[in-house]
Amino acid sequence: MAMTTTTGAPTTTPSIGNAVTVSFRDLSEYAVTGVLIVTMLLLVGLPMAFVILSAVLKDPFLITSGFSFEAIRAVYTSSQIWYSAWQTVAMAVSVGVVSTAIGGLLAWTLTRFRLPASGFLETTVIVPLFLSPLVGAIAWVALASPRSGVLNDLLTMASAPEWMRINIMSIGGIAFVMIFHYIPYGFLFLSSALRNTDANLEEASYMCGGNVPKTALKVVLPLLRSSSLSSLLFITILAAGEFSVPAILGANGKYVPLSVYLYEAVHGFPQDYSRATAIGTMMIAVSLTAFYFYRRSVRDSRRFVTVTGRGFAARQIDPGRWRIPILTVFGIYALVTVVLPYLALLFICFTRFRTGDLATTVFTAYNVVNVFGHPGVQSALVNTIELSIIVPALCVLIGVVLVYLHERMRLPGAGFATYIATAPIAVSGIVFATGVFVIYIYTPLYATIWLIAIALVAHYIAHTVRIAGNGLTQIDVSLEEAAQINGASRPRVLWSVVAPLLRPSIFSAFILIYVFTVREVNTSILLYSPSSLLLSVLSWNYMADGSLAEAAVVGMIQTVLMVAGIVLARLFLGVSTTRNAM
Amino acid sequence: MSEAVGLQVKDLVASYEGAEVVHGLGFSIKPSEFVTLLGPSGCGKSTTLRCVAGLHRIDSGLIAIGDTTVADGHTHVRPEHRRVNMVFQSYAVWPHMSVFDNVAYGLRMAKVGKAEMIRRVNEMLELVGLAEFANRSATGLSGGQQQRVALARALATRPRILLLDEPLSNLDSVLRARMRTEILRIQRETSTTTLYVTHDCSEALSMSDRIVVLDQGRINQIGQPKELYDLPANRFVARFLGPANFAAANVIRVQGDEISVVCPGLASAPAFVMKNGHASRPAEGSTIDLVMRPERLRLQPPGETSGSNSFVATVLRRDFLGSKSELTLASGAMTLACEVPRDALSRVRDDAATLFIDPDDLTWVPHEARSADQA
Repeated sequence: MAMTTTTGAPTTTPSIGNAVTVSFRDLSEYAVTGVLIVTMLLLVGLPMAFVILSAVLKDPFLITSGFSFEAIRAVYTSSQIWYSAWQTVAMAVSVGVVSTAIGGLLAWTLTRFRLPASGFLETTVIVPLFLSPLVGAIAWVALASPRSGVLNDLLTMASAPEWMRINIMSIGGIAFVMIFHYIPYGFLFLSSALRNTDANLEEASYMCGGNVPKTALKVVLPLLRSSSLSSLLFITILAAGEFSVPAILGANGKYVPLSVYLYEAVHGFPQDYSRATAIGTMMIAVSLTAFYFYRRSVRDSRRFVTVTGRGFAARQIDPGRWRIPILTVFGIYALVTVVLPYLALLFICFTRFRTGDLATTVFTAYNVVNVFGHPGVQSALVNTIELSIIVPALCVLIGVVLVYLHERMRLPGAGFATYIATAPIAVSGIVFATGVFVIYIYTPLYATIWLIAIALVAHYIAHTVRIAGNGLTQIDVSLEEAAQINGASRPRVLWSVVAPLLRPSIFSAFILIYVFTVREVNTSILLYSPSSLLLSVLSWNYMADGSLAEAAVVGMIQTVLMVAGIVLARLFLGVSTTRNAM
Repeated sequence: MSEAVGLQVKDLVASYEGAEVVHGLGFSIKPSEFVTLLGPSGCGKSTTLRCVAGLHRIDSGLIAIGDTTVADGHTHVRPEHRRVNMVFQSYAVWPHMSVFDNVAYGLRMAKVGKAEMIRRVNEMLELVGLAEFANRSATGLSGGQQQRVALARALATRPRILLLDEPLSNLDSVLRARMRTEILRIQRETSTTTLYVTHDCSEALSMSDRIVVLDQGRINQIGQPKELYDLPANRFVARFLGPANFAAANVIRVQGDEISVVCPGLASAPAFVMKNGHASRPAEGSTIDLVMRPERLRLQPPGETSGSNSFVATVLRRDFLGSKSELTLASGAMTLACEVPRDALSRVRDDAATLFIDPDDLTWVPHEARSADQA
């Protein structure tokens, strides 16, 4: 339209194209919504439905084969499985409680005390989030396996008493490795809650005569109750589905979670998908219960936490003589989660023929050369890189479209589609993969990386929906309306206002899914084939063969990929990986 | 500037989140006129503004800008095609653009030539006093500066109608007073037809050519500021435009434009006469509500004889407010507020004050059941 006209003849009648009739708009809305819901149901709903369906089919891959409750009966009457279910829940809840407690304490310390280089300290706490639990388990086997662990060798050299020797391949060891992987989740949940809680609430307590510990106990803790609960349940869901850590550390068969039984049903002999899906239903029941309470706690925490655009003046206490002890705690944390494991990995990568005595260690590049010469490794590297670009790209695209249609266009049904998209948070990767497998076994997608891509995209959309949703709510609607009223069409508004403002969220969602994809093993372990091998599967297979050094080398390659991705994103896109991760 | 055009709104009905909030509004704005929609929060004034902008779809009715119908029950011209512009309550200054780019946005959308665009952006920045800020990022600006950027951006496209949605509500009081005169000056200089939305009566009274008073999605009264203040159509308008004492009164006699009444609610049922400014006249023997503005009530010096239009009261409370003082008084069953010059406070006796109101200062509104209350 001519806005420049200085003659000002205001009689331009709007053309038909501008005058959108209401009925046409409704019709196209329903079409878009229909497509959305069907897509989400196929992508996300179907695999979950098939886990349950296959468990009660005679032939788990054939929907017309008739019903059989044999597998369900066998699983649900097995005392071994029930014991495993109990163990899974107990371990998951313990990991959830301890990770949330430690993460919360670190978060409170960082937000409320004036500490040097607090940005660096925060990054330190987050780092384990971007490292693979599988690689972590491999590293800790290298460090603290009872017979050949480096730490144990050092203890022997120092002629330490027998009881000081560390056995990582125990129930405690499994819990330890998982806890240190999940602390960042607890930290992120609680630090965002703390940051959004007005420091005035605490200051009011000081005014009323409460000291620091009393205030923390009487004011801060109750305010964080719902966030702590969300964190606990979220970690519990993830830990209950964790497969690689207990499978590798094993604990001499004293701790066998459901995920390991499911894996054995698929990869054992004979292969038994009915049993696998039956165990899957039990895992779904466990995580759905936790998910129900998680949803409730999230709703509650919204009620408590005052989220406004304006930042509160964060009140920070001078730690005084506690400064050194606090910094020491962060130092120990970094040592245990990052420094020791990765030193151990490097050490294992470059040594050979070690005979229990560290003094006789021979350093060599043999392992590295050997692994890189392996044709499987090269194709796994290519596959992993391909997958880790495809999956985040699709996740971000679908997530942003869903959120925009739901939050901004307010399309009827888009909310329902978004709800379906977030459901896979409640289902662990290995169970979801079982469903994907039984659906696609007779399709050409089978044995390609696209099969894995479908499973991962469906599983990870939930994260991009959350991050994009948070990003979009921070953009004031009037910013878009202002563009509209200045003459910009809907696509133009998206391009010139929404896209640049949403860019940080999009980038951090991309990098988060990238990291998840590179390190992923719970899903791909069920869906890979020799032609769609991934680095994570490869390191798992090396580990299963007892080749610790080769597994460590592949683990290092994975780690380098993840770190390179994060560093590149930081340098070129200015992505802050810590802020938007949760 | 483009030749100014008017706005016409007829039988406007609009819903917000499923509930009808605007029930058949009708008003018009003459070219270059400054009209304010005034009302409490939730009265539908912002929804009406957004309907004019095209950001909100109307249910039925008609909106016409100049000779162009932009919305009725069937058609809806999208906001980008209406050639209006708006200053948002939150300013909505794009944080990822410089001040210059913010103001230039609409001109770029309209594909104005580069030289002309630069000239007009600079002209606008000059107009709002931000010429030296052109290359600054919009994020570092103060509230008042963001406000000016929003105003410059809205005027740069030479909109047929300028819409302002509570633009001053996020500013502190000093800045608010300054921006008030600033907006008015710019509106006069550009002679842009303006629709302004606010809940603040002093903004409405000081800026508008005419005010539309809204309550619960309906128009209560339309008129010039002085007219609304002195001759409110009903109790709501009287009270919304400023503090007022209401006293139920019985009409004794109506002669020409002079009305004689008696107020049974006040001590010893005093008689009043007043000049009728309204078009309609009350019927003799009916009940009306007298409107006594606190600043029009005068304290009678002690000893002066009290005749018509005066009554006695006792002082309940005295509030010293600096430039003036405020008294809270009781008379009969009523409590009243009265503003007096600061020095008058010492001369009044607590137990026997006499109040007087000039016949020209007194007006009336239709009687409403709640008789004895004050502002």
